[in-house]
Amino acid sequence: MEEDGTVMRRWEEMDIDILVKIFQSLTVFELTSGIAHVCSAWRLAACDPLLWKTLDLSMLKSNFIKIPLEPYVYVHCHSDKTLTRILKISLSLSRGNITSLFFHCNLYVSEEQLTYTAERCPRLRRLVLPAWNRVETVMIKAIDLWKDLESLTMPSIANPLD
Amino acid sequence: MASSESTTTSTTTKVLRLKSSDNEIFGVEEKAALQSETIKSLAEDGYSEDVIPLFNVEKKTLAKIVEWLNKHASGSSKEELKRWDADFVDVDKDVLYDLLLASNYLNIEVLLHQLAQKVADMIKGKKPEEIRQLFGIKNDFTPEEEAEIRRENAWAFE
Repeated sequence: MEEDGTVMRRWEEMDIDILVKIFQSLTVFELTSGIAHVCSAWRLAACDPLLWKTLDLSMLKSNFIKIPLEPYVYVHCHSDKTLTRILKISLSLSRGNITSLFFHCNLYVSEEQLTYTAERCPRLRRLVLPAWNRVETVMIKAIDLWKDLESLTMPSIANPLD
Repeated sequence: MASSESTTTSTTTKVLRLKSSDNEIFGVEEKAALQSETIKSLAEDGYSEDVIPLFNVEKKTLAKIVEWLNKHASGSSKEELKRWDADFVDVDKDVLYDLLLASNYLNIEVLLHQLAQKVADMIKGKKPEEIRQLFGIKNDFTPEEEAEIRRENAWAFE
């Protein structure tokens, strides 16, 4: 007790393995909401491959309405902005280490978002993309970029009026 | 006699002696102490009859660790342990810092996980500046890192 306060505990010099351990308790939304913008050491820990093997966006849904014409959905621009923000930060921190990528069945990715993602996930092995209405034309190009792809889950899209 | 001998061995529990970096010695029952993988391998290396030196842990931190080891070897119910653990990690950030380093060094996986979860809960929902203030961290980004962060924070793709 009497020696308390004599040692400075510097959280920016915390053992990186411990920081990674702490960050493993965070969701992708928490990981991308600012811990990587605190200081250099925390940013380095936030980029650890252990945190980015899987990017799981199965908690994120688009705000959308169904329409009778292709691509059969209209997505609210706020949803696109939210997804773009999460993708930009997580793909930047992942440093190309993502091997599994999961999207919610109501998360409608745009062409721009898919292309951006494909370019930054060169080691992708497993993709679950149920809502691919908006990306039919760029999908082939994306798949071409994923040389290690082993598993692809893309159920067929039905015209809701059929 | 065989029967009396077995009674003797079952009642005498072996006590390991752990020495902090500032030379305080703590006696801990073997069953409790071996929850630490580091102590376990030191004991296997033949330190068990002697004092086990823990050079990286000060006495006030070791006292807390020993308290945790004893509680977790005491056979408490799951519910009680959960409540006790919540109180145990409810400490100021300096104590948390020392406990994190100690549990990492002593390789006590369960405790390390509890402490990491506690810090994660403190970080959740906070902006970078709030986290810096909470933990007394300086913003030491290089201009290159700053530029990268600005790109991450921009709303559109480039």
